[in-house]
Amino acid sequence: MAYTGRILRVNLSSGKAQSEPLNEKWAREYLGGKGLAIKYLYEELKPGLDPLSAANKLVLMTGPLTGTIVPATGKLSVAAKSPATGTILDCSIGGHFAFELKYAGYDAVIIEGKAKQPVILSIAGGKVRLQDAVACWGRGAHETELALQEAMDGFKFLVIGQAGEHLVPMACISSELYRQAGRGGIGAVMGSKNLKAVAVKGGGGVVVPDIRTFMAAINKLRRENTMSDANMWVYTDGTPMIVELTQTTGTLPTRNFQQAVFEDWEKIGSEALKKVRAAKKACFACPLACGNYSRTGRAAVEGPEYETLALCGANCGIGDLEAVIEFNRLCDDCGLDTISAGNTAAFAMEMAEKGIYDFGLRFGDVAGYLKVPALIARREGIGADLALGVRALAEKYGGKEFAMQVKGLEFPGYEPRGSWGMGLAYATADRGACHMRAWPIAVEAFGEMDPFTAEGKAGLVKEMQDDNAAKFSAIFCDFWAVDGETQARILSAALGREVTAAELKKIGERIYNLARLFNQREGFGIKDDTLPARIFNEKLPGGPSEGRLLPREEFVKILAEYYTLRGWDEGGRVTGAKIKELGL
Amino acid sequence: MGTLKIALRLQGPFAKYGRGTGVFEWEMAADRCTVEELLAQIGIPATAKAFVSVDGIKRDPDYILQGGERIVVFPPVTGG
Ligand code: SF4
Repeated sequence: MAYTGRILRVNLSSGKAQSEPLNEKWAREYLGGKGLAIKYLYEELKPGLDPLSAANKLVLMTGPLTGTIVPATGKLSVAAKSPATGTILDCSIGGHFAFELKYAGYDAVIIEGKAKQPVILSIAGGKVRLQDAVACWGRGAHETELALQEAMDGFKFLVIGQAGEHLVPMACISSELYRQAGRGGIGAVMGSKNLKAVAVKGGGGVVVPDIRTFMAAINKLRRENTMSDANMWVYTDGTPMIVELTQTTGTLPTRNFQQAVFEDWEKIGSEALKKVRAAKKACFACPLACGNYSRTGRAAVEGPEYETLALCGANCGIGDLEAVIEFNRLCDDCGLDTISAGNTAAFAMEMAEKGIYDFGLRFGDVAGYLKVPALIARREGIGADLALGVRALAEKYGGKEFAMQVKGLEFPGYEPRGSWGMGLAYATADRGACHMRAWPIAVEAFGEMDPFTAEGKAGLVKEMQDDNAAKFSAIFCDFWAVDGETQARILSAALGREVTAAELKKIGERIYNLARLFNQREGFGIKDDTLPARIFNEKLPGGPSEGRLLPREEFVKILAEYYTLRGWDEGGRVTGAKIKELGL
Repeated sequence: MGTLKIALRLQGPFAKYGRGTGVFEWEMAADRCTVEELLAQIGIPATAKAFVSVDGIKRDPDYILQGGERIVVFPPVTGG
């Protein structure tokens, strides 16, 4: 129940597509979304393969609740081996593609091989076709999707821009113009397969055991839980509200993480954004509608989200909201992850400031900054170097100690020196520096836990990672503060079997360990679970976190405690006992 | 007893406890009060786990207000 029970496997090299049964045992053990996508990749990818070769696979995975009316379940997991990091990579993308795929009769699509020339994969009415995409190649994600919307009535799309075509390791996949599977170069994997777009049109539905009881229970849940005070900030403000929280707690990355407060924060904060907000937007069946559609004289965009405001605003020294909106729109159109693009621009700005290398970019200089997305996406001019991302840029020119990345993935918008748990979260996230595997800042700097202590952080991060792994596999949006008990009740009603919160915890832990095993197989270990030297050695110069750093010895202590709590060995390796316990 | 005047902004769903979004002035018949007492006066339940900033700095529930401060009250957030 709730699953369609079918997976579509498409080989772009041979042009063949076949439908196969969903592995039900795996669906029980990994649910769907993140977990199930990682399971398929773990079993099917040979270790050591080049992420941009035909041997990599791109998995589009729905969850058991996708296509039902359960609130905030409209996202799709997109997974592959990452070209940016070489780790496992799963991203989630909102909008309406996921439910359409389920209604087309599939829980997932596994895309293999490489097309000889650019193609669009279209799935509708039980037919799978590869259409010529030569005419779209070279075009932006916006132009491409708008043209496809015209030509293919009723379809929903995943598309790449020029960044994906040029295999840029910070290329994203877009849907509905402004929703992105952003991180780790997932768009470059699509580009490496000569796949410009995936189009899907449903027509079916999703079956749950007792539709009447299910609908009544979910409607009640929506009223009493989803749309309660605990979640409505998502609707009233959305993530831009976080600008003021990070500013207030000294965790707002500013000028390539040299500072943690920004003098112009109010110009890029939620109140400023509300003045240019033209509409609210939502994913399928989501009453929280977190999307802020903003329009200024210069540009319109859905966003910017907090990460963009922080990393393309404060972190580049840009306090001009219109410029950040324009930068956001350019990244969306070119198909670039704003987190990595903002970090890369900021790193280049600091390189110039320190006299290491001059790309012509300066903190606060809007004109130079606005040229960056198109140049990176096409690898033209300074973009040829900037497209390498922060880690490779530092290897080429220097500045490693302030290259803000882990495992090759650039930092999200939270300063670990002002919230120590974030340091551990970045160091141990399965895809490099990521804030979505664990977000301890919510209970440290924004909550009641002391942000400047090692105590309790290892357990906190582990619990959050496991909980989120299960949540992103059942596919509940992270913006819905839905507890494990409620998730379990919803899943039980949809699947027609009892699911408990304890089982979800175990599933989360299993998924996190499987992701670790994938990375371990690729050679990752304790040497990679670290942070840039800036975090250990440079004291923050002002604001509420003035004088703070995350001392290396404290970090080492937290990391060792984390490995112990995970049941891993002192080198961070998953042990045989853990493998047995979790049935991996 | 004097009157305590505070500039307040209630973020997100907390706006319903005040005068909508934006800054407004809040008056209390007191010489001083704690952040916790202020929230109780406004009607924001302690269980809501509000984040309070006083003049741009995060403050605990027992922080004492003297009047003249700028206060922002945020709801707890999930997911970044
Ligand atoms: S909260 Fe936002 S991102 Fe999450 S499901 Fe709803 S609309 Fe989509």
